[in-house]
Amino acid sequence: MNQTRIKYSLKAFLIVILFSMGMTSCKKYLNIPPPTNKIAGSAAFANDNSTSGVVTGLFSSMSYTGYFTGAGGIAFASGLYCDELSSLNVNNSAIQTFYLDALQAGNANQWSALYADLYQANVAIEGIKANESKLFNKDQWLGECYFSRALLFFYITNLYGEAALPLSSDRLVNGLLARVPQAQVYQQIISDLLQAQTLLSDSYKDGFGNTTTDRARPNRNAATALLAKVYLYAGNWAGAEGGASTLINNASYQLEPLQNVFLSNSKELIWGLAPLVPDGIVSDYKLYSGPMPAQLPAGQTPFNYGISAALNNDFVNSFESGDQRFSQWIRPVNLTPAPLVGGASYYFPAKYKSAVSGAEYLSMLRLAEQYLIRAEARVMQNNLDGALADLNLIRSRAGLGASAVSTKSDILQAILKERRAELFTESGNRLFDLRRTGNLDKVMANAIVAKGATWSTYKQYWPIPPGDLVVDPFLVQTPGY
Amino acid sequence: MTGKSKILPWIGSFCAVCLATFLFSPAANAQQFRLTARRVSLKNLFKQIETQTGYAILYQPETIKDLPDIDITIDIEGIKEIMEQALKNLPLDFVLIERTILIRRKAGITPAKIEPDELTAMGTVTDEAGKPLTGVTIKIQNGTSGGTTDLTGHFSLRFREKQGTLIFSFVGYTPQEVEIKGQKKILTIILKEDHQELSQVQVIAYGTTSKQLNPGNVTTVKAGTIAHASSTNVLEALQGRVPGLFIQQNSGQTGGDYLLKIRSSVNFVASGTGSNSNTPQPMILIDGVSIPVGGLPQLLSGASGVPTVFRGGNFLNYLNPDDIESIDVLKDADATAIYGSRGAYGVILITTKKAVNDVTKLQVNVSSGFAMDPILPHLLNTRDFIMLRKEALSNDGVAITAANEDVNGTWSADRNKNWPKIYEGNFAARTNAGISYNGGGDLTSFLISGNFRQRQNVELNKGGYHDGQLRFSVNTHTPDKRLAINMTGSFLSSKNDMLAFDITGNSALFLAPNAPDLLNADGSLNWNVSPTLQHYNPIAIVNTIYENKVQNLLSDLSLDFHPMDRLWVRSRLGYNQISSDELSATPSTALEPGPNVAQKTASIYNHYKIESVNLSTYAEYTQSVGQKGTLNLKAGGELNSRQTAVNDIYGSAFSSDAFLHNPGLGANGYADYNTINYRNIGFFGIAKLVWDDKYIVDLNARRDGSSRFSESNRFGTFGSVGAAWIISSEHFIQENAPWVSFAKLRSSYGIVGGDALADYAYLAVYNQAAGTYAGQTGLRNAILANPNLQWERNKRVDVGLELGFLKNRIYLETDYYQNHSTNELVNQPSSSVTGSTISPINTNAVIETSGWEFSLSSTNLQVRDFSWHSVFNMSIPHNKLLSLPNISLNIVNPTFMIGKPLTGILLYKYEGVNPQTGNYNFMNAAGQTGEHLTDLTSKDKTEFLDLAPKFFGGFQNTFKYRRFQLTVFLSFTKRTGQSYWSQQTGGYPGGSGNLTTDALRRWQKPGDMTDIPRASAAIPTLFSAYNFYQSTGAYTDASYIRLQQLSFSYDIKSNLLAKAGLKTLSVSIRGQNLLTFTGYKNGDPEQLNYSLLPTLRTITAGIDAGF
Repeated sequence: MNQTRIKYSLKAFLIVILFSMGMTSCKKYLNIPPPTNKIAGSAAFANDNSTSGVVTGLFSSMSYTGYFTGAGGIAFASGLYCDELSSLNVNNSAIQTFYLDALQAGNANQWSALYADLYQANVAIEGIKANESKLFNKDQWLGECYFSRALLFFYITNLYGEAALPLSSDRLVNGLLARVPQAQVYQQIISDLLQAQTLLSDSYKDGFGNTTTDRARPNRNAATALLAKVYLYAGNWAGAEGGASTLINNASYQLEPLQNVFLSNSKELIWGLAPLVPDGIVSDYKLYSGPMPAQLPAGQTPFNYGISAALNNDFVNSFESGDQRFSQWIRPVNLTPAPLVGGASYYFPAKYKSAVSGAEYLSMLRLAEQYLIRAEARVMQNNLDGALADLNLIRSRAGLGASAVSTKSDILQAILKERRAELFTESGNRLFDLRRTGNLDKVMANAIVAKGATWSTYKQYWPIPPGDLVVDPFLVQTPGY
Repeated sequence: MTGKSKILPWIGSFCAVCLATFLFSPAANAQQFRLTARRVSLKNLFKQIETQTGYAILYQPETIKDLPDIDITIDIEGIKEIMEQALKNLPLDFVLIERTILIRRKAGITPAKIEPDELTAMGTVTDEAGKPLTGVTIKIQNGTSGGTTDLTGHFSLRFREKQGTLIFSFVGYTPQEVEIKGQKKILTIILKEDHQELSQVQVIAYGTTSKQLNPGNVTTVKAGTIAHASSTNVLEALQGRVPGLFIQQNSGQTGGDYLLKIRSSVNFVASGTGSNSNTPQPMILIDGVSIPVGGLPQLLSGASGVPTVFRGGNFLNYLNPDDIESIDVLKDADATAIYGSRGAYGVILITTKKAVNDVTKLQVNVSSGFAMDPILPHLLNTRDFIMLRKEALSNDGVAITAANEDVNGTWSADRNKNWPKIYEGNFAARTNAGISYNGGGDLTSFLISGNFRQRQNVELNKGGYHDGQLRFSVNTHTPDKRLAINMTGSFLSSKNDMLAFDITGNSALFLAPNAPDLLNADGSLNWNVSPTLQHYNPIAIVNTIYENKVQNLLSDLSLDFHPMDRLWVRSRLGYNQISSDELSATPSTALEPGPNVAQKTASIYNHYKIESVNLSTYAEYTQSVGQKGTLNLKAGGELNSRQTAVNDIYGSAFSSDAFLHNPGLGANGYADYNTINYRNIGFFGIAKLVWDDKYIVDLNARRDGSSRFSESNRFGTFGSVGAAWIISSEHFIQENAPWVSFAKLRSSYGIVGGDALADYAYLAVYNQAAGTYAGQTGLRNAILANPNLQWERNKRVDVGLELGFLKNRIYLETDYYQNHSTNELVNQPSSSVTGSTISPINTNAVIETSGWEFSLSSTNLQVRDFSWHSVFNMSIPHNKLLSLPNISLNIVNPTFMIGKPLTGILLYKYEGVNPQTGNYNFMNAAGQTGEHLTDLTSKDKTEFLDLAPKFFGGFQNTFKYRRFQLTVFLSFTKRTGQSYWSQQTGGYPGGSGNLTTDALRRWQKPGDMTDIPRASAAIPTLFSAYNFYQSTGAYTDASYIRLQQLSFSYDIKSNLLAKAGLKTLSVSIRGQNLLTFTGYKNGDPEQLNYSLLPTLRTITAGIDAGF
């Protein structure tokens, strides 16, 4: 009996040993596979395809999430905010606070959306750098990231003034950043764009690194074009002229007839955001037109078609007679019965006209703007003839005669007026132009009357979300709010 | 490395256990004995016979000491023959008692001398049904030595004493004392099952214990109690039964979800369902395997976006309550700390029925009845409705127009329809049928059972819930009793084709009472209800398609290996798999007829499969300590793995409704497939010392790892200490207060972990972005990952006092507990510069939950034929936020306030209906009372109201007279909830939808003092009504007492039964949720939600026959 017991105990002991051996591999046992619909950690940068996907995620977010396009977009909100658009929807408080220039802390949350993508850009830059050896097209991906980061900083600083400058994905560091002066932000933007210029290639590339004619991903020229715009904003006239000239002298880019400017295959396009497929329609089309007929049935208003804003009367009246842009890029819509004698009831921006998937791209950078950038840079460098030549080229494309102005300040005003007519409801240009040329207070003093509200200088920049101030003691609110 | 290869070493160790035990197992053929041996000693011969036949051979060593070795050849069947052959030519005789063979000297031959100072006892211990009892403790009074019975209930012991009293004790049975003297005697002990509270067997982590000796807080509910209810889900039968466990049905619909809450557990992270969404759910284990709680990955919305009623459903809907043997609810640190990172919110152990040795029984039961909605709202009749509508239009200064068909005469004022009764007032049939057979032989017993359940839908009688199930359990042990094996398997297939929408809050029920029927006489939809409803038919969802087929496999293999005295090695492998094929579709027949209706058709198919594996092995060792102590040690390891796979296929714009069952054929669509893994591993040790049956100390420790955390934070150590003092065993009680039959003071303290955070929350992942950009799909970093996340830590203290009086006829148990939860997971706000405005962190905040629990059981009357037994329990839970170091959490949720419960809500201060204007008045933060139509902001929400139950419990009375039994069970809850009135209207009479009759109390003229405002359907009243909805005025007392269960049964005993081959026959009538006493009007005070189907009332009659 005793022998048996020993035998049993030995075997029991053996089992315990075996079991313990199993236990030692437990740490590995807890390494579970990631979910099948997600990529875990740095695996996203293991090859060109997924790395490209991360960068594409940035562009698709710009195209989709709404800080560039749609009702929450910078173009729409800033158009309401200054003197481009009139609100038709008095019950929509989000639209009304922009239209009435009554922003309070918490109203202008494009800040959060822009920084959310900035985080993505930083994550991508770090991921690509850490995995450089695995990537064939790392220059393209990295260049696109730097370009995107510069673009995001550009809009942050132009909407909010001083900006926080997160350059890594470290959330502990970024959560305690302070806002830095605009000059420092511009420095960063310029440095990012210079990097992008060296990294990107002259030809357009697709998401697989193949050369393409499609202009949905930025190339070196896009970086140059944005840099020219940044130089103009920052007062580096020579830099602005040089950059714009590079584009203008490049045969790949040509001014198109007005009706072709916003097509996806437009030669004028330097970089555009492709609308996301399956929808494939630029949201500006839905924002201002959609299926709304030119003559509304009795009892209907644009609001029946989900359209909340029309062009401001003052802006409509500012067009010179014969300006083809008025007939090509603006669409009149009449109520039944029409309350107004003569003109139409409403005028809507109609740069985007297509409900066909992929037919149009949201223009972010285009050649006409480069002519206007060069014109302005030339004036500032006292090259008035050169400036007028550029200006008149844009005017003649619109069916207008040469400008009659001659003095430096008159030419500058003419360029500003031309920018208004050429670039309306595009990327917030109007608000930015008014402010950087020192015309904002003067223009708004007039515009605000029609709105029935009040204007103050501090409103040139928007307020940041109040929650951010609570959790980051170093962040301060935009002055005045 | 893949996951599979990592599990290999585990399977290896499990196989090792199996293999080893197999090696020790001799041939199991007990009938045939073959042996040819030369010069074999009698001792070895007997051993051979023992191992080959499974019989125990008992003898005194002296009996055979002087006998020589023998030559022998045996090849025969039958134990008697074998023994006769073996003992032929020897001076030995044998007696066969059950499975024991006693060897003795033949009469007339001088027996070997027995040492005078030794006492020998041998025999078997069985229960009343003759089932052998394993592990019965045998001790000699005032002595030190003793032992236990083996797997077949046998024992053979020697004591130093000459004579004495042997005490046989076993958990769940009344101990028995037998006096023996120095003579040899074969004892056959029959232990009687003890039905008293104290001797109840409680299933705890890794083993069982008796309530008497348990220093932890565990409440046990037995099969008999569950059987009184005619529930589909066992949780319904548990409602109000367990102190500290709050259960709420989130929908009365069969197949719906439940909210569970043990000891007012709360945290910051929303992971539960129901009204208090920050309720972390307890862990539920069925035979050791954890099951998903808090909803399954079912569709949460239908094909066209309308939410389904089932809210994810509940795993226990797919467990037949009849299969449950017992449910143990573990609450304090002593009971839960051993579950390491998972026990923080309580543990519910469900043990299923197993095969029973040596009992042959065929049981058949059938029951049938109906269910109904017990609470239909009392709505206005046509006369009152029209009166109020006209009054509202006149108050608003609006003329009756062509659009007002309800009052302009288009709809007849003579029509009066009670829509809720028409659509929801149906009786729905319920049927239940089950059969089970238990049988077996000496070594093996088995249980097989089958069950069929059918529940029709109350709502519109559309579809039903049907399931069928097969189950088996096999018990066996090797003849040498070293190894016992149990295997259980159950397969359940369920089909649910009910209407997947709860129409309780649907506007169809609140149509004007004179509106035309929404359904035509032939059952088709009426799309010409009226010009205003031309494009709308609220009941159109009746034509949507829903089908959910669920299959649930539960299996469990356990090995109990007994290599030597006092040592057991127990291993258990459990595997559950639940899978579902769910289809929700909107056919063209559910849509307004039109040329492009096909474009709006949609269909979604959802498939999920959840596999859970549990493997645990531990060694248990019991050792006497000193003269009076018993030390029980357990050490082992456990691993759990769960994989959830979910597959969706969505399609829309079908060319024909015939294609809806194949969503891939839609013109547009998408498909998704995802798997989620969760693994857990733990090593544990348990030490329990019982001294003199008076003092008990229990230590638990566990090192535990969970895959929910990043590699550096995966492991944590948890533990607890529990102690109990059975005061009634002390002399001073026995002498001074003999009426105190039992008194136990117990207490426990420990740290329990909680991993109630999302899977992969630590892992930075990239998701695929929606749509394609220039021909490529984007990826996006999911920002909310935090690799530093750790366990929540719950420090728990529990003090309990158990008192029994008058031989425990009255038994009272009181508990006070206090838990401090720290390291709580919370979504902390962060600057949007970081990329996201919230980030999940462990915060230093401390949440305190505390409370009192009482339970009292009493045998009030026990006379010859009549008995009356009562059980009462009550829980008073509290929770509050003790500290909140990061005050910015207030931004995320302003109800996070120090000193306040986390289950509360902030509301505007309601100031009644203004007697002058007839509108609601509110007080803003500045203290101004007025209508405040548009100027109230969230800062004006100054009133805090806790919505958690203040107390709840149950009260059961059981009356027995001869063979009649009547059980009455009441449950009760005290709490505050949102009134039906405020939910259905937002608070103003006069709109085009019908209202409850409360509307008749409305304000009519200046000076009227009432709680219902003036009739109005104008826009400003919408603002006011919305403010009212968010004010204290919308909240009311929602306490209730419910006649939860009433059951009446009669056991038929007659000679005719035996002639018909029947052993037992009983008939019963059972009612569930028969009556509710409450001040809460029109709705169900359990769900407090006007758009959810109330808990159903069911009445069934059944018959149960045993053969």
